[in-house]
Amino acid sequence: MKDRTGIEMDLDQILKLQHELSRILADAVDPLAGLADAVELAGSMPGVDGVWTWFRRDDDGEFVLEATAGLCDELTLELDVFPTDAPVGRRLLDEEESVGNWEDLWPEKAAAIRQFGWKQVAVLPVISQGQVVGALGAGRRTSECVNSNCLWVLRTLANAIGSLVTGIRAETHYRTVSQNLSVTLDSFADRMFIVGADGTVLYHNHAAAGGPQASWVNLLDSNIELTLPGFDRLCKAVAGVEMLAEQPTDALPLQTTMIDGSGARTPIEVRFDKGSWDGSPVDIVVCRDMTSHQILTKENQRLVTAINHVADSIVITDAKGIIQYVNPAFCAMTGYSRRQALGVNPRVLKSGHHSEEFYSDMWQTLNSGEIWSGRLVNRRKNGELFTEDTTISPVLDESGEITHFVAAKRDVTREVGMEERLHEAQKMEAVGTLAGGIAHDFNNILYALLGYADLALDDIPVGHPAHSPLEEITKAGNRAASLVAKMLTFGRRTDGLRELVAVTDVFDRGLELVRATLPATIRIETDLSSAAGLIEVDTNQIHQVLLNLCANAQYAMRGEGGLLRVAVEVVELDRKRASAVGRLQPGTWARIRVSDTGHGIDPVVMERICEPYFTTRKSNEGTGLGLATVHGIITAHGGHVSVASESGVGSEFTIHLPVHAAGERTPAVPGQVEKKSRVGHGHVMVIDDESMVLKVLQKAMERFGYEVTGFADGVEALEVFRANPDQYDVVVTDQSMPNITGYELATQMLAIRPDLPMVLTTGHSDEMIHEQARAAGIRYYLPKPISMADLGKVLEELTNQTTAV
Amino acid sequence: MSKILIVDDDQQIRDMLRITLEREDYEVVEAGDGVQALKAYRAGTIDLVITDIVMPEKEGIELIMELKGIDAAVKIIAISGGGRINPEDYLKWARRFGVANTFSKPVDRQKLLEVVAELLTPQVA
Repeated sequence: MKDRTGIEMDLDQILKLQHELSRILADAVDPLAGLADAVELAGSMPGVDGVWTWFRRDDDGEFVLEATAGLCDELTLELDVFPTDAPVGRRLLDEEESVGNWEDLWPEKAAAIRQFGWKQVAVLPVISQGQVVGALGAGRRTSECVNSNCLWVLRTLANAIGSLVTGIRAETHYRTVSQNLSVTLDSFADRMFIVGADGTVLYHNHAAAGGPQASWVNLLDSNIELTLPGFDRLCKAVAGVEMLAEQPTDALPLQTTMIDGSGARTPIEVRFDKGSWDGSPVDIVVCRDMTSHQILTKENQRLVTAINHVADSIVITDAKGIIQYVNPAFCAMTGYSRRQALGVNPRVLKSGHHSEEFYSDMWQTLNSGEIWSGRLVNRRKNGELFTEDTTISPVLDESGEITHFVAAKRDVTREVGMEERLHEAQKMEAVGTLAGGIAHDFNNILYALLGYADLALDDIPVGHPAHSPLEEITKAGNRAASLVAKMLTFGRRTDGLRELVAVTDVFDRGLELVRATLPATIRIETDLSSAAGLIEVDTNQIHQVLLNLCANAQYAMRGEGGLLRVAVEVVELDRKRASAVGRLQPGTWARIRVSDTGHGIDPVVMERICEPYFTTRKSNEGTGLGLATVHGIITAHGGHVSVASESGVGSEFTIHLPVHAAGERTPAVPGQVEKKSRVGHGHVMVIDDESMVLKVLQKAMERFGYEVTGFADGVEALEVFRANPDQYDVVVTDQSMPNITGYELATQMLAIRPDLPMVLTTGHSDEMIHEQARAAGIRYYLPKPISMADLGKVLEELTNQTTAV
Repeated sequence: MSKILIVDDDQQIRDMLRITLEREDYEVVEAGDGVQALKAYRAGTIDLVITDIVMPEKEGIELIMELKGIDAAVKIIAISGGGRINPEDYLKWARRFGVANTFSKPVDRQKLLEVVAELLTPQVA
């Protein structure tokens, strides 16, 4: 043991020692080794015999011996754990130094320590970051206490140890945090790289290497280009953008593709950030896998494409009702462009058709988070009204707040119009049917009424007070009669009876009717000078056609008046001219032209003029059936309707009707039937669904001398025939019947009895049926109206043939 | 005095026609349907038949055909109030079977009387 009693350190020695102790601790690579060296050095200074350190335990805070210098083994054992409840312990916790003999500092251990010869002691607290983390002790074997010079050095050492502990703690903390951060980064789905200036990967998380799965590849120290081809280019791109933007674009995402550990290519979005790593500048690269995003984007694109192509209009507004999206159908429906619609409130479409209550009800439903459906009448940009079936759905966020409204609307203007017109047409049809049912009785009543009024008028002289009222009764009766006639027109069968008549006769009479309806403002010019020929028509229907066309012309010239021209002529159409007029066959045609000097027809309207129920007139001015009727009648007659119109100049309707070759057949002459009588013999089956026609045919044939069995139903006739096919010598059947056509009936009967003489009668002079009938073995084809003379002749011929066989 | 047979199932019309014609000094015989009409026609010299078309029992067209069978020269005027189809359609059939003239109800009295007078004017041989 050295004995340095009495040796005092001078100031220079003290400063040197202090400097040396600080250096040892600061430069120590291993902190504990540094501590041991420092304690050893301190223990060698004059004025102390031993130096030691205690550090506090984490669990109970007791001071535990760490490094010692100059102590005997026995003392080391005694000093191993120093309790905080010893007097010196409490002083330490109060950050106070203690200098004295062992009895004062630690009475319980004083005796034991003294037996090893240690008398005086000094204990200093070691403080780190405001906490007492340990203690520094120095002992003497002499009775002199530790002097102030030594204490000075010891304080320096205690401070240096405190700093050392702070450093160790910080490093431990840093290590823990670093480990935790690494774990955290590894749990990220985004791929992260820290890339050095030369492109070397200095750090990457698990995701960057392909995740924690089997495909894990360590990319450390590899070049980033292997994983992120074009990295350099991307960096430059970012730099370029930054320059353009004149501000940092740390979060700027760039889209590219990366090759991960397994070699798979993945679409990614890259963000760059600048940072430093070990003091060198690095790029911090975060890559986000965009695969699912791309799938979503594609799905979104598909949805957007679908929405853009649907016929229904789609509108999305924010919670305040401001339009944020409209699809093209909306633009087509309303006339507003997307640019005009965005940012405005849909109330620009308001037509004023609905009450304020209507809208407040609607908003009440929507604001309560419910879907609203209903029919809205709105206004297009051009002012036109339209009707739309609308469903509006509120879009709610997680908290149940409305963020948007989505409206899907379907333009039902046309359907609504059609429905209305259909109802109107059904109403008229019902009126017609009703009229047909009551017309007979009603006309009888009217006849009685008018007849008696006439009789009364005979007896009451003009000037008598009752005379004028009776005349009024007559007038009213006549009005009622004309109303019944009009109603009957609606309930009429379309296949009325056709007669072979002179073109001039039909139109002379028709034009008479037209003249009666024309107002004084409209002049009429007619030309029938080259209209010689016969047409087979239902005169009433042709009159209807003429009246409808003239009524339209009259409507077109309402107001200013004008000139109505009706020219009827019979023309020869060669192949070229015939095909120029629709698909007509070349030949002789009656051409009827009705022209006006009115306002002409709008090209848009022109496309639809023959559509049933299409009308440009107000609801009380027309039914929309006029031209449809014209078209229907003329087509049924094998004719054609065309129209030419020039806005502001007028319109011309041209009708072509087939002309019968002169002399082919002569019109039926009343009274001719009587000359033929009672020459026939044999059994005739006759089938016609029209009971009146059936009755007439039956009577006529009976009068010709035949035994006749009549059927109103073709199917029933077929059954009867099948039961006894040889009972009949001739079968005469109508073509148009509800359950079975005459042609079908004939085919089935001829299948049972191929030699059966059959006659087909029809109201339509359809060449095709004629041809088919002949091909099927039907002997005769009689167009309606049937001339009784023709019928007699045919029957006579057929029955003679059968009896001759 | 010419004798006219009025055939109509409507009593009121028959009465009205009777008064109208009697005022013009025609003798009038009535029948309520085709069967009665045939009986009446056979019973006496009838110069003119004015008949309705739609009637119960034997209707107008049938009656016309039978009358023409009895006497091809019989003069007939057919009148129809119409029914399921337009009165004109029935009357066309009537014309085809040789009636002299047809009218739709309600009939213009003046025109009817003109036709009646014309038909009953003795033909100048």
